[in-house]
Amino acid sequence: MPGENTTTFQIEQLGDTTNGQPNNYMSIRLKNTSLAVASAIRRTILADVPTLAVDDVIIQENTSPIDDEILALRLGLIPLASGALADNMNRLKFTWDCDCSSGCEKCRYIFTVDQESNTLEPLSVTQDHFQSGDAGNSPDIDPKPFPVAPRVLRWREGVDCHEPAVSEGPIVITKLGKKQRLKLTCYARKGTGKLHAKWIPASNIALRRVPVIKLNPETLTDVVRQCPEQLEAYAELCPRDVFTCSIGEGIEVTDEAACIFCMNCLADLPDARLNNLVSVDMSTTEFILDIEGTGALTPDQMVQMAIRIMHEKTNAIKTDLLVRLGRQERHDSPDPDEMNDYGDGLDEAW
Amino acid sequence: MPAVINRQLPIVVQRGQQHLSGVKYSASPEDVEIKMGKVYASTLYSNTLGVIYPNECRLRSLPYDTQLSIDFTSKLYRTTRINGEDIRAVVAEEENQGHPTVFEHRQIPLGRLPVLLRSQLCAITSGLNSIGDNPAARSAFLGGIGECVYDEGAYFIMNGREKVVIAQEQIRNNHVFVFAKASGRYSHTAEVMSTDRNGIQIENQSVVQRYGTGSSVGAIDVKVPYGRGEVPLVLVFRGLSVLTDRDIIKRVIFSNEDDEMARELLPSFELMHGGDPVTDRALQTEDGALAFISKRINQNLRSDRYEVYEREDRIDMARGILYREFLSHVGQGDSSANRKSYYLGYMVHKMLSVVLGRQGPDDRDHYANKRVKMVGTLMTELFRGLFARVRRDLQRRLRNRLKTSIDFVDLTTHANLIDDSIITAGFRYCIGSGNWSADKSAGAATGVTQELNRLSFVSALSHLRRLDAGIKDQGKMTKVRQLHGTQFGYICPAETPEGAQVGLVKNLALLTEVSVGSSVSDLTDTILDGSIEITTIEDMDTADSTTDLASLTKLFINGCWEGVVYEPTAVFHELLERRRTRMIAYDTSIAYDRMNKEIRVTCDAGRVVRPILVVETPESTPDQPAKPQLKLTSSDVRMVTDGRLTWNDLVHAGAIEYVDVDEEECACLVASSINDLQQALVRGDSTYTHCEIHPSALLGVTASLIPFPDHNQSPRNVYQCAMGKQAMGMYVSNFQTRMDTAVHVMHYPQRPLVATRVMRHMHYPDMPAGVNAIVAIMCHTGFNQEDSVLMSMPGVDRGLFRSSYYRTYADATDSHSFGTKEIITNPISEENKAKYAIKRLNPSGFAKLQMDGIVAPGTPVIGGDAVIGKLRESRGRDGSQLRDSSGKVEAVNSSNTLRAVESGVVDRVLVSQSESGAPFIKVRIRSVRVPQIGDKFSSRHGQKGTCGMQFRQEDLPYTIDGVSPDIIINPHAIPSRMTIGQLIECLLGKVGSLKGLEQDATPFTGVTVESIAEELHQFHFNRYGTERMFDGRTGEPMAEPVFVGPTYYQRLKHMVADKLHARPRGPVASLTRQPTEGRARDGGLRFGEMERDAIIAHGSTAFIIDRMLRNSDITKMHVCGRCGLPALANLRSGTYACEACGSSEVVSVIIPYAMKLLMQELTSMNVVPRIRTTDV
Repeated sequence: MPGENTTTFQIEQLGDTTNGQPNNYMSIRLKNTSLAVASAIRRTILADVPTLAVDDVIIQENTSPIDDEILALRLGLIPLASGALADNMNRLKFTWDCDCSSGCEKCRYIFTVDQESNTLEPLSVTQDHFQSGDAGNSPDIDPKPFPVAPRVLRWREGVDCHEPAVSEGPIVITKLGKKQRLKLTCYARKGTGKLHAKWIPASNIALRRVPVIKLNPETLTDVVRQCPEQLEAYAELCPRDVFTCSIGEGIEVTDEAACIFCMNCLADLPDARLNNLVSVDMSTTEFILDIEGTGALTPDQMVQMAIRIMHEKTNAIKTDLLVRLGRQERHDSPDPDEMNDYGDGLDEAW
Repeated sequence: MPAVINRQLPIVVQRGQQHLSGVKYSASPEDVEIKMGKVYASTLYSNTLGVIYPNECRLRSLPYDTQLSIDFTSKLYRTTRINGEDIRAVVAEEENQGHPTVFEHRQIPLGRLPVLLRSQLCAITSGLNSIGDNPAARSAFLGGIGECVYDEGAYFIMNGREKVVIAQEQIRNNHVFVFAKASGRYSHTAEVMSTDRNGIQIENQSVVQRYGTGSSVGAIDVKVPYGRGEVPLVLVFRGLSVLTDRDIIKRVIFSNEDDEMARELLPSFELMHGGDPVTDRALQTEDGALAFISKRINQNLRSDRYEVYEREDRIDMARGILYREFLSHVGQGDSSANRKSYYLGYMVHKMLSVVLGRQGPDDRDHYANKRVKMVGTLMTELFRGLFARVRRDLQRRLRNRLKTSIDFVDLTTHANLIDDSIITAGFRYCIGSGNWSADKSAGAATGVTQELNRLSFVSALSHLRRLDAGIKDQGKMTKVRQLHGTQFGYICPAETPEGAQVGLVKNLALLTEVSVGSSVSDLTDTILDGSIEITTIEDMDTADSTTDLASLTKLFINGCWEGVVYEPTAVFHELLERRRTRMIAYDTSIAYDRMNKEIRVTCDAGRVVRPILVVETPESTPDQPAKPQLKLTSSDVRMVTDGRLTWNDLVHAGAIEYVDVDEEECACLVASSINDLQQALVRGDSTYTHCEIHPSALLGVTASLIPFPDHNQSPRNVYQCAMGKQAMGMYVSNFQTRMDTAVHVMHYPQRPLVATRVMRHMHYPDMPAGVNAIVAIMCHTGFNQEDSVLMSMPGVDRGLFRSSYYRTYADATDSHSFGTKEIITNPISEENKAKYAIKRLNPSGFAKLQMDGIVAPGTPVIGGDAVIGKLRESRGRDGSQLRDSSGKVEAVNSSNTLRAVESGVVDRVLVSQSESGAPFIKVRIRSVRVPQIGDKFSSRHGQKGTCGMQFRQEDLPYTIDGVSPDIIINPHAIPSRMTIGQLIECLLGKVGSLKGLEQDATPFTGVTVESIAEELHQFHFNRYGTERMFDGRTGEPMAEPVFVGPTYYQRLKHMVADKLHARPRGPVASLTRQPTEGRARDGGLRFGEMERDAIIAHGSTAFIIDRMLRNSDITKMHVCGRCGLPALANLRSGTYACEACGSSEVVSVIIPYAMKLLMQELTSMNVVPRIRTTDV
């Protein structure tokens, strides 16, 4: 198997953490591995890495103009700091794994919101108004799952843009007019992206193969000799400025990683002599994984948790296979309960 | 519109001056005269609560109307004969036993007048007027009274329902139409439908016809109003005192040299010399002609046969018809005869011109020949009809009262002669039902009012600008449905329904207005004030007869020939100048038809007019030679932007003028854009007289929402116009305070990233109906084939296209049926159980009712749950409660339950009183509609599709930046439909999202794909919007780049949740015992004829029996084995007998219940069906 056990991770870029913001962005280069592994990391982060999110809302009073259902959805979408799960995913259990019947401190975390406006100015109820009712919540959950808001906005520089409208303040749940009141209790639960997008820890993950861009020296010499004036226009064809054109010396690849595989440098060229000047390929062993988080988990936590989950799964398959093979030899009928109960075995495997 | 109502009402009422006569003493007759005076419309006050604003009417299901009252004077007259002369004088009070003989009644209730929202009578208007121009204060006021901030009004509220009066198109009046007839006796006709100058009098038609076949080919006949058969042309002229042939010829043939036309007129004269000389001579006199005409007058006009009249009376009658009814728009008095003769000559001339091929026949579909009846006109008509009924009723009552008043006449009690329910009920019926007729029995136009479409804000706007051609189900009729060239700029070319109504229902273009109409007499006075050189018909007639009319230009005012002008161009410019300087109303049309040598000045109501920019040649100065230029200057534009000038200022200054179709076609050359004009001006060969304000204004309300419609195949724009009205969004800003029957509200609508410039004028950015979704066009899996779309599940999870559905259930206790009493209560409460014996009580479903019989807000409810509990007590004839044997009161459950297939949460409850003061309850149910597989979505380019699958984040394809699309549509949707506009929208949307700015997609602005591509390149993206994508399931890059970008998508109201239906077993209809029909009744899925055919083709007889008998209306019955008639069978006692033949051989047969029914029906018609049986 190519790249077996040899995958290396190289952190290319990390999000800005200088102003006390959570680390929300990371770009890693995976080397010596296969697409299957790289893609699995991405898919696992999106589907299986657990986080906390508000799952049930009990509305005691809502005289705001927003309907209950809309409020509930808004509350669910607020990212909750789920770092507590990073080192031990079982610090909080899935509801269906918990022994309790209707929710307990092991499988949920309770918040309350109670706001009333007494002024004519609308009162914004925001994530900051979440109150953690410590009574009824497990003290084990640390750091506490307070709502977080990502305040990172990546903006491509150097183009004439309108000012990006980024809300710097906390996430608004609703606004209250005079005498309006919002009183509710939220139950945050552990879940995965498979169930609902609110549990997806990443707001954006892009996995791409590393571009391999090569200049064909023979064609380059010909072009420099025959039509050097075309080179500047040729470099311009690339929207991401992969090439740099220096007058007299031809052209060189200066920012290989920026390539977006648009193939503008290969097709419909203005001059036939430019054909085959470059070749654009994708590496089969090297990948770039860009991760941007919601704030629930940091990107490195996501990757680590994803790998652990993948490990668990492969181990589960391994164990299962072994069990099946062993049983087959003994011609025993498989015990259906044991068949589906990987949980304990997995913990041991870890 | 309010101006029309306010202006028209007094006019209508002043016409109601009427003499009523009741005979009291036979010796010297007295009569009572009631003269109607001033009419008042009160501002809207309810008796206890202060001002009633429209939203209260919506909520409480009341009509929004106001009280009309009237002043009138009653007078008692007596006619006495003194010296052989009748003298009518008011009776002295002493002679009436001291009671007044003249009595003025003040403000007597006349009825209730429905009020158009935002009209002058509307409470909102007066409220806003007191506030002034501050927009924030206006919004606050509107919000405070529960109105939508952006609502424009212009509809009625009738019993809580918003009713639009649809504008009705009809053919123009007072205009001569010449048609060539394909079949029949006549080859050509010239018709004119006359109304009087104010358009108020009832229409009548005069027709000139030319024989195309028979012995008198070429002879011309005239059909006069109330006529019975035709009158020869020459006789009509003679009846109008034009006696000599020479004078007749002068009126018809304008030029002495026109021998060709003279020949055409010859047969009409020859006709006069056919009979015996005595008759011929008699017919040459005016009286002779009139006597002849009188024989062709409809006898029904007089109750007696005309034979009984003296010849003199008959002549008078014919003269009356000719003078009053014939061509009534030209004039109605004795003095009008000469004008009428000229007008008749003009009609014949026009017809003969067509006969001779000098001009083509008229085009009915030409838009200059159309008039549009709007609310004001229609309401005026209705009021006229209703008021006539009030007067008839008053006359009848007065007659009855005078019969009984022996001693004296009491005028003071006349106030109650007016039945104010006639007008109230009449308006309510017409607006409520849409049958527009004062008299319910008379054939009425149906569908004139419709319930205002509140699906989205633009759908309501568009509904208010709708036109109906008024042609109902007349087969194909392709010609009228087609877009006519003259509709350009006035009628939206894209917005029309598909199917049966295509082309008949139209919509006004954005800038189009409908003329309100201004006073003809003022106009005539202004034009004929002597300062313009016009020779009137009278002058023309007295001038020497050699005047060559053919060379002169005729002047028409509202279709009436007023005179001729010698200097048409000068007169035309003078008239234009007068309109531009406001001496003539701005919406008057001045059309100089050089071809037909006519100047037509028109100011009637119902013309479609639109504003265009004026191009003028200013006076030349020494240093600047005269050069045409736009009258609107750039400094004007700056001042408008600053707010120092308004639109009306520009119209007043003559920089913008309103033209109608006739004027535009005859007298304007309109540059299609400022650029065209500029180029022509630079070239120096400009002949333009006007310039379009913007070419995109030719579109209507919904078509203006389409970005780049000029890049789409035209039917796609038509489809989008239909779908834009089904898109959900914010339909009004006050939806939380309204209780609409069924509406959708989208949770997070967005203003479009790619917008047209006119959108903001329709408040689309404030009231949007769609979402800027990231759309990829690719074949991915198979789940987006055949116009289905793939959707992003995380997007949906996060609220993409999520919407709420609100439905209101209403109930009131006012029951009109005799002998019952209704109470809102919880039927299963202990108290009620003890008190009542309740019929039709299904105990389930009442659990959610409170003690008061209403569900509480926040309660989840499902189909079948009662939301408003109600009991109906049965009452005896004396009104007492009926009790059963146990002493309980008999009652019937008539609770209002939730529709079987719906569910939701109780959102709001309204407890109020109906108009009569009875308890009135409305309950609004809300349910959230999360987009699911099968729901319908559409772009703004007629590209609709249903959701075929939702993919989770990890399975979605993503771009190199990690962006995954919200929607993936199939590329096969593009080539055959040619919706290039959608592709450009997507490309420009991408630029907009990167720029962070709204982008302009107004049509005809010359945006090129290249310019967008260049910008996109600057933003480091592929020029043409494609991106490399990776399959989320494997991480593999896809072979070809994919076109992705933000495209505005709409969620349409059709959702599977409302349509999904299946039934294993269920209710049957009581009559046929077959399964019921339709989802709402939990009906079966019909196994129809075609399905039956297919099964027959397969030979699967048993399956047919299964479907059509066993799973349908299977019945067992007994028939006589001998005679085949139904027999008696008592299965319990085992006795079988045939009553018909006495046989005891009874057979049981299995048949469909429908067959049993058929046999019974046949039996009832004396047909005897028998079932013959044999042993098997």
